Amino acid sequence: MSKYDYIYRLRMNLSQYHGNIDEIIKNYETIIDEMLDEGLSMEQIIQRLGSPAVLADEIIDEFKLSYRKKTETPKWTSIILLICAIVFAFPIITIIITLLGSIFGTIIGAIGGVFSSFIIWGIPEASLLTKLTVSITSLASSISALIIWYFLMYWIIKLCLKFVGWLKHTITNLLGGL
Amino acid sequence: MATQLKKGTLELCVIALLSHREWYGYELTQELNKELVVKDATIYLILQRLEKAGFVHSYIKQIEQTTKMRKYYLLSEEGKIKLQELTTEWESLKSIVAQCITQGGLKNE
Repeated sequence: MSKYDYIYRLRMNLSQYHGNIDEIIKNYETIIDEMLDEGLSMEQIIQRLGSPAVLADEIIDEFKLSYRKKTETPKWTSIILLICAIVFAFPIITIIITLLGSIFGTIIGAIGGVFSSFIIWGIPEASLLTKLTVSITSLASSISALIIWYFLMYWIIKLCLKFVGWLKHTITNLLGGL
Repeated sequence: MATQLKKGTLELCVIALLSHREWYGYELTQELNKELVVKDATIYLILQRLEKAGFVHSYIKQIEQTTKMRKYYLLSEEGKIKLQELTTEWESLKSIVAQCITQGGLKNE
């Protein structure tokens, strides 16, 4: 690691905290320059000072630096995002309704498949091979369709809940700000 | 030497050394590491803390006939007062510890 890498990483680690970070960084640049002038290598210097992360932790602890709060999204950004979300929501809602509609079709089809796998056994004209083939394929396709739809709906519902949660949070913040 | 013992006395060692003459950072760390095994980072943090508290001043000086710069530390007037306080506390602590070790008890003075 070069001196510049070290100082850059130290600054990155400290940038999340309040305090005179520029002064601290300048101090350590001087310290490292001094040690380099004394003939030490960067590896030796890192051994003596610690890695940038370790040194940053010690500095934060020593000077009791407080953590910066995450910056809030500006109001106008939230409004634009909200408008986009509402516009975007319409086709999403349509897709969800279509998917919900098709799930019922799939469930009915799966139930029909399961029934047919038993009904075939009541048809005397059908051969044993036919009965077995129809039973196995009907059951297998019904069950796999149900499993696929279960997972698909699980993820769709999860995404929808996340979207609704974000919408609710944004509206609450906007109304709170107004 | 036990870490906790070192921690408590390092600041006094740094201030005491600075009371005799000016030192630059690396020189101070080398001096302290002659007898104590201390991380350089710890000593630099102590120097920064003392400087922030006003007990120590610093200045950058160019080494003669080179382009190398060094940051020298010297004790301020407040630092001298702090040294006196710490020395008094140290003498008192030294006596208390000695009593505990040799006499197995403490006298109420």
